[in-house]
Amino acid sequence: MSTLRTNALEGMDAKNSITIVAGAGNITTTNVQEGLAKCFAKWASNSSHAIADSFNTASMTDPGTGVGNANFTNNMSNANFSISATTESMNEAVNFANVSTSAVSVSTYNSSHSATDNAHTTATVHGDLA
Amino acid sequence: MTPEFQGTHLWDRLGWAKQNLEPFRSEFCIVWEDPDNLDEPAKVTHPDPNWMACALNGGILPPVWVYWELKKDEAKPDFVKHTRGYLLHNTEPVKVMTESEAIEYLIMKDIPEKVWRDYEQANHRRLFIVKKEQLPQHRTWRNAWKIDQQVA
Repeated sequence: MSTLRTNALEGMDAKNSITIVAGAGNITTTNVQEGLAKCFAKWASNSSHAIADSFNTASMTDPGTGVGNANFTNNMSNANFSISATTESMNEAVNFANVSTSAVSVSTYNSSHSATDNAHTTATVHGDLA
Repeated sequence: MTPEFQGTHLWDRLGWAKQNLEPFRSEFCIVWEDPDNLDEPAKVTHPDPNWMACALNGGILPPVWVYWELKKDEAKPDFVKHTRGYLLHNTEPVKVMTESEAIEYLIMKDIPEKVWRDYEQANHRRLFIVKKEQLPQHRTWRNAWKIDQQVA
């Protein structure tokens, strides 16, 4: 087996799109750009919405208990992207709302279905960038 | 030294910034109320430390009007997806900003225009830039937070 060492790969047809072909008969392919998470953030909604770490997040808006609105730096292409979000607590529900190409709102609820703050809330976005 | 980024995809610039710039934790945040929903609790917008690093470094972020253009496109009834994303990548990036300039930029980017346009002339004061230490120290009554109009 050989190892490819490089600092940059660039698509030929589209600069930011590279497809990896694997498997017999070139059946299995992976589009690198499509598979990457386009945004993530981890924040504490139980204090000052301090953002522990992030990528492609410009700001976080706290509109009330248990809610965090992540505002993107690089817009998404459309509002049909995928969001995965979670908290550190068991028995909690997380949902999203107010989705646009520039932001998404993440809400967390306790087992009594009341909005609740958390020390650790995380969200990740997959989809296409503008 | 920041590379010449005009024409480089914004997302790639953010990747460069994440690798090369130290996050900057601003002591400021923006407290605001939606003038169309004054019964809702006051909202608080916090700058992201990695974004602040980009703003203070300069040469990475697009001018704020680019976001306004994309917002206009998205508001059109026949909007399906952005077709002018190139504005984010090809427009000359903004130069170095001070912390207050970065906060002002963020207000115009992430807070609805109806909140900040002519806000000083409104009867009901609806926007403040405050230090985080000025916020209530606990969140027990979070959904009752309002801008104190007497202070305003």
